[in-house]
Amino acid sequence: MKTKQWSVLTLPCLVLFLFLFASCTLLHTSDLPDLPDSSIISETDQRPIQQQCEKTYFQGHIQFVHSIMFELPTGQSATVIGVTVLDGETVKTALLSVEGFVLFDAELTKGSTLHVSRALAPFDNAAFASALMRDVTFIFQAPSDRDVSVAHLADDTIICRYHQDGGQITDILPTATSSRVNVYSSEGELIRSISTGGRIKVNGELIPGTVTLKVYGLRGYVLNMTLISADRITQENNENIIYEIQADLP
Amino acid sequence: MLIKVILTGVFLLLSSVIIIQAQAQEQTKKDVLRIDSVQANFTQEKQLPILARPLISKGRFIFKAPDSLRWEYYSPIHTVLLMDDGRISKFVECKSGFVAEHGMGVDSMHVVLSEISSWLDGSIDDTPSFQVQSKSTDIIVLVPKESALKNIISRIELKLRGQTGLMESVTIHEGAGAFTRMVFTESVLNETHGSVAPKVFKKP
Repeated sequence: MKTKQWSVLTLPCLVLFLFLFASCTLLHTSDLPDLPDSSIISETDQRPIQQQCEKTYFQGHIQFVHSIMFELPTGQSATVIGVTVLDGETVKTALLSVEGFVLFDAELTKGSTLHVSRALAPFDNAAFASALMRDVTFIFQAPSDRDVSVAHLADDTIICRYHQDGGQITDILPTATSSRVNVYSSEGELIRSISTGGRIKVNGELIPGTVTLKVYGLRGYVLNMTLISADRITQENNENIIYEIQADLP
Repeated sequence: MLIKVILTGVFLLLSSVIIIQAQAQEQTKKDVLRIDSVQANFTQEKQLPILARPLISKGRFIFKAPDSLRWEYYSPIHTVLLMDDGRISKFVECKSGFVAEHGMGVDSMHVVLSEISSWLDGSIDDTPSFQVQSKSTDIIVLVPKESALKNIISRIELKLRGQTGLMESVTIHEGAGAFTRMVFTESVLNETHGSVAPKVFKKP
């Protein structure tokens, strides 16, 4: 008798589940904002605005030191010191504990070859290394500009839309005081974002005082980065430092 | 494991200060001084090949026997590592105040305490994790016993401040041009103006 009742209830439940699942799937609309044709700026006029978007990133040989707070959905968090050196060819990065121990040290060459010279647990696995370098390049390196659309929306928002290999789209939204970068999957789902703020002007360059990286989804996380120092390096031997800034505590 | 490594390093530094004091006491063998508390300011210089210039951190530590510690960095990131009657916790200051960092390896405390206990017993030549490689009037060089620890720390140099028995600096070499040097100032052994307040070892 119990078996029969179970069977009677199972079918409606299964139908209801499938209906809800299908509804949720159909209801999930694209996160990607539309760029009306009227907002698109012609290729001949888009260069100045595109340059404004590109100011989100830094050119040349520069070193950043940040405090980085990891936040996981579980509520766990940890704070480390991140060192990033960019020279246009390679990206070097190191993670240090607050106490000064080198937890992770790696270099990504222009050919996307990753050399890990030091990795302590729990950073001693390939998945972490590749994910970290993906985050670092996402934060510090401009997307490929082979296919760019530039739009000026009615609310005065500027969007530079970069169409990436594999169908991903990167939107850069610069303002006078900050920048936001959104990455969408080929299905239009927002998968990663960066927001910068608290710009500090040093020697004519605006350096973001804070950078927040958000990775969305079930395995999402947040990195809150606060600038400790920035050094523009003009010689390979690192002897000629143009400037130094000291940021406030996080 | 990560926290274990970090904590071990931190406590090694603290313990190093205690070691020297214990050793100095042992050398005199006339007036065995009980270590009740040790505190000092420190400036930490971190050098790495990747760094254009050293990363400087400043802070203060307070130790009270038998097992209470406050290891605090004021800059560049304000953090407080606490061990209160053996319980370990760590806090990071953010805009909303101090926030606890989770995932601490409580078992690491036993490793650290065993080191401290050994050193306080005057067994500097034979601790669970390190051994003396060389010893002069003002510099002691320690090296790890285990190969696993050698991958993290190649050696530690302890520099003494004259005949005071107090530590002047600790340099932890991680290899390949990477080292951490901590210079201690305003060291106080056995606070004379009363005992260290218990609240020092509570959540900030």
